[in-house]
Amino acid sequence: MIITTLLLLPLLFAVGLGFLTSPFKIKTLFLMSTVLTALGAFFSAGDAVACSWIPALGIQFKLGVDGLSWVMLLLTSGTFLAVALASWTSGAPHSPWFYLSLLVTQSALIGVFTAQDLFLFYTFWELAILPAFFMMMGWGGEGKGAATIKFLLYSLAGSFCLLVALLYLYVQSPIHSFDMQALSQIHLVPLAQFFVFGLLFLAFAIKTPLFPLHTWQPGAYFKSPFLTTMVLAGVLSKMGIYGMLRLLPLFPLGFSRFAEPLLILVIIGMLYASSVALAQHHMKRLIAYSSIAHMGLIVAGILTMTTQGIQGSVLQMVAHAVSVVGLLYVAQLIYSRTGTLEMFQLGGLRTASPLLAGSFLVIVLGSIGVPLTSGFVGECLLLFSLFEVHPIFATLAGLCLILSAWYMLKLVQHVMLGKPMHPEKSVDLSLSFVEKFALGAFVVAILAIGIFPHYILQAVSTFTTHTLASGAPL
Amino acid sequence: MILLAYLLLFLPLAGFVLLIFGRSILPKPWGGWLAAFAVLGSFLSAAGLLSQQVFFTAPILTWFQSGFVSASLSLLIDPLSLWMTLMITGVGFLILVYSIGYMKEEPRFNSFFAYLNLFVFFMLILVLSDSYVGMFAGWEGVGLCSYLLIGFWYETAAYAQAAKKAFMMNRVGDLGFLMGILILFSQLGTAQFGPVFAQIPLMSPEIVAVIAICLLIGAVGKSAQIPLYTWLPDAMAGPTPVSALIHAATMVTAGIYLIARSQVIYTMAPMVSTVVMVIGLATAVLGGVFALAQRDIKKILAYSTMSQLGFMMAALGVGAYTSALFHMTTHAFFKALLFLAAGNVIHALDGEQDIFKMGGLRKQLPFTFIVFLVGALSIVACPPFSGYFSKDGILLAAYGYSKIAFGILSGVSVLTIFYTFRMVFLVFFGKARHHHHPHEGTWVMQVPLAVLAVLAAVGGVLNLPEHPRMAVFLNTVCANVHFSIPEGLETVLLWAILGLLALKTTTAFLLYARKNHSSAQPDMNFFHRFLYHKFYIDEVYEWVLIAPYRYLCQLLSAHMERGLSLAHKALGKGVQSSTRWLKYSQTGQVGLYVLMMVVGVLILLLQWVSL
Repeated sequence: MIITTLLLLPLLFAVGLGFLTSPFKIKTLFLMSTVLTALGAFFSAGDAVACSWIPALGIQFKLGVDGLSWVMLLLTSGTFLAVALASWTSGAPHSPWFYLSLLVTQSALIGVFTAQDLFLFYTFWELAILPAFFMMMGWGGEGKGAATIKFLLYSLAGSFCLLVALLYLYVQSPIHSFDMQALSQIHLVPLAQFFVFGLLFLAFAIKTPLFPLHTWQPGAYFKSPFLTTMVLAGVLSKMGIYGMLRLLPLFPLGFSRFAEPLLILVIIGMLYASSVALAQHHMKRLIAYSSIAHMGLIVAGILTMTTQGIQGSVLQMVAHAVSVVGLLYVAQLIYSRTGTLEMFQLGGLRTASPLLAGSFLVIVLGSIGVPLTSGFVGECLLLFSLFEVHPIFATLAGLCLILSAWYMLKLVQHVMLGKPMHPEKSVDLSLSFVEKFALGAFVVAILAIGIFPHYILQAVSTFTTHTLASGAPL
Repeated sequence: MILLAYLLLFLPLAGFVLLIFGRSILPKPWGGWLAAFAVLGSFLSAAGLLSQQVFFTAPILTWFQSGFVSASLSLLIDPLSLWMTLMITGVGFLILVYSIGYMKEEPRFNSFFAYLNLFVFFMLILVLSDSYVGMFAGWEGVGLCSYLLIGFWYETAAYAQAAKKAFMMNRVGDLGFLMGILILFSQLGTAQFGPVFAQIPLMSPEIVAVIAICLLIGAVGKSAQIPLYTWLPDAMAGPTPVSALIHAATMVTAGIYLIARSQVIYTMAPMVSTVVMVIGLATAVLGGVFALAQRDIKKILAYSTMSQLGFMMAALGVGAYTSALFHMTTHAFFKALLFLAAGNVIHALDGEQDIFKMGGLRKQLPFTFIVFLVGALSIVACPPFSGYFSKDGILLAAYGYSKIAFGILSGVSVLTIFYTFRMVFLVFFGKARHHHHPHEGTWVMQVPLAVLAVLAAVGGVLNLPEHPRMAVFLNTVCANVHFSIPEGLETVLLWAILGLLALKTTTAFLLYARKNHSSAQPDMNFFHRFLYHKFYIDEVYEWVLIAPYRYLCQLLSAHMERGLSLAHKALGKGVQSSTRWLKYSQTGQVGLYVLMMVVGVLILLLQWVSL
């Protein structure tokens, strides 16, 4: 029952938002909604609901929270909490419609991560993308049009692949049902498995995004308002990963046929994205490319179909969400004070605000995977899973750790260290209480995930065993 | 007992937390004293554990567990880790006290001490962990603190750059270390020392050799060995106490500790041990040669550190594990002493670091002169100073292993004498080539120097040839391989050292103390310039590795990204044009639509009929 409430809660608050005009009240209501949702998500583990929806087509309203879903719900609600805190920084949109779109996205994401019925899954999947489109169009930066259209077209292409694959599965299933449990009963001939696996992988790869299908992403991150970028980078990108974890293991033959070539492609993509990130000098673009590299490692882990690969990918999803949202939050703070994110126009911000610089450094450490911060254990497990396939894969992926330290510390160096580029323009970096609180929360989250990753790994251990039992290991 | 172990580890962390949160509240000297006493507390806890002579493991937490791979963090209290702990916290305490005087003008005084406490905490994790994974956590942690402290004066762009360079080069080594851990995971599912050392002898020698190589890569990065050494001289951008603590006495010796700890692995991989020795020898030579021509006093000391670390590596390579650890200990004493004394000089000359702009300081800074001389005599292995006993041990072991190694190390010892006394004479003798009014520091700076000078002078008693206390103490964890050393070699060596010392010191004296050197840049011949620019190896790295790669990145970012976008667009265009003919069906004539509908229905009907 909690899960249905959880799904409706953001929508209810969204309706409430429509009656408000004062920015203060809007943001308070939004914050309340995210806090309540986060609480609900925490207590939702193991909850399930199922009732018939369109019996003629075998469509059910079936939601359930297993270990993976629970972690994804926490990740979603955590990201939205951060977004709610970020909405208090000056420069964030005031319109109720913006926050309404965010809440609809959240509700849809809760649906995506808990749906146990493919039709429901697809519906939520589409619903989760649409508000982002409106937010980009309505509140995006200069030149948003092209970026938005690109985002929409790629999303549609992905959705199309997903739809075809799901319909094919529906047709093939003996009892004509969209139920995910029933799906495991389907036995497809090898060719059909390859076909469905390919379509699904394509759909999820576009969403994640993976090289070479990533070209929509830097623009979309770049042009979107900060709060939307946080949702895009923090959660929407995880939809693809979630889909892979949930659906791809059903096609073991697809794995045994495609995993190795895909691994090579993914690792090339990681090196490519890391290299391109090194050439960026806009903070948001750099974050965008570093995200592509990180996502690549996560997908590589899933492709190995090992315990460490799957658990590592889940842990790394959480770690990446925290660090990428944190990085974007700091970017937002800097942008709201200085009006630029070009790293060569910034500098010496540490003098203006040691707190900001210190928190930023911790977030960066989480992002580059220093032990005892969020990134390390996930990366270690993922590299291990690659190592089990071939040591060369692990070494090449490991190079990305060096590169990530390079571009991230370059960012720190140019933004925080050195002398202020324009000393005559004194920057007021004094932080409000909410901003200090948010930075502190990021630091705590990064350390907590780094020191106690055990709890996250445990939460998905049952899921991992089940998945590996159904699929064939590489 | 177990409580003492926790206290030992967490006191510096508590100091860090207090200092970082109270950095704007704590008044100036007290923040420093808080940090120093936190480390002293650790030292006393370690001493307490030592006096009990009980060795145990104190669990902290299960870090992660996934399938058959698991890692937990625990404290391992054994002779080796206690020895390291005493050295780190003991020398660390002295350097922290010294810093209270040295950094007293610093506006971010408390932050400095906070970072130093954090460093000690991570260093303790490194040496106290009972697994390679825990050690790796400390390993990257000290790298982080080193980054923070090299870039402590971050407003200067070059310092921030040096900090980044140090972190990056260490990361290259760290990847090797991590790969080693992954192999252990894949073979055994764990990286805890106990199971690893029990299983290693049962594993195939090839795999053990690969593990040894991976760990060596990590050690090379951290201990500034060839080819990952160029960060160490740049790291001198940090405040001088940082150079003393992190880049001389403790952090850079982590690589030595790693290999000594892994003696079981390296004994199984004699080929890799030879590689360790060769790297050590080459680094010892290169560091010694580079130190000959430098002008910056801290850079000379940095290259000397590199050279001495090479000595230790070579010792590990030939199997003289205790000798390496002993030299590490005495090196911690005398190199910390030299750095801090150099800090006194720099402090007295308002930040001047060029030895050609010093001179004649023995009259104005008599105390500093004496302690510096003690350090110098110790590093050149003059009997009976501590360096003599530790270096002697390494030379003898090298002789037992191979005469060539012995010859090279002896040559480096001669280099050491020369560059050390070049520095001594240029700084303290001759005429003054500066316009300052130097004066000694306060007692907080002098007392630690005096203590270190005593340690550097008499530290040899820790491991006398006739009475090897240290070797006996460490015997259960690591020990020297036995070599047969000819009778009387020790005496020959003693006289040789004394003779060379007299000879080279005189040469240096004639060259540098008597002549009047101008403080300006002297004309350099080709060879001298080549040496001064450290064989241009930094430049080679920059132009052969970094610059082309950076160019590639620019290229990818500018052209490949656009190319991909265009390719996708072309795909879209292709779909569009291939479906163009479809649009002709959209004529807007209702009749045509009805006709098409009828055709469709007919087809469906036919299909139904045929079923």
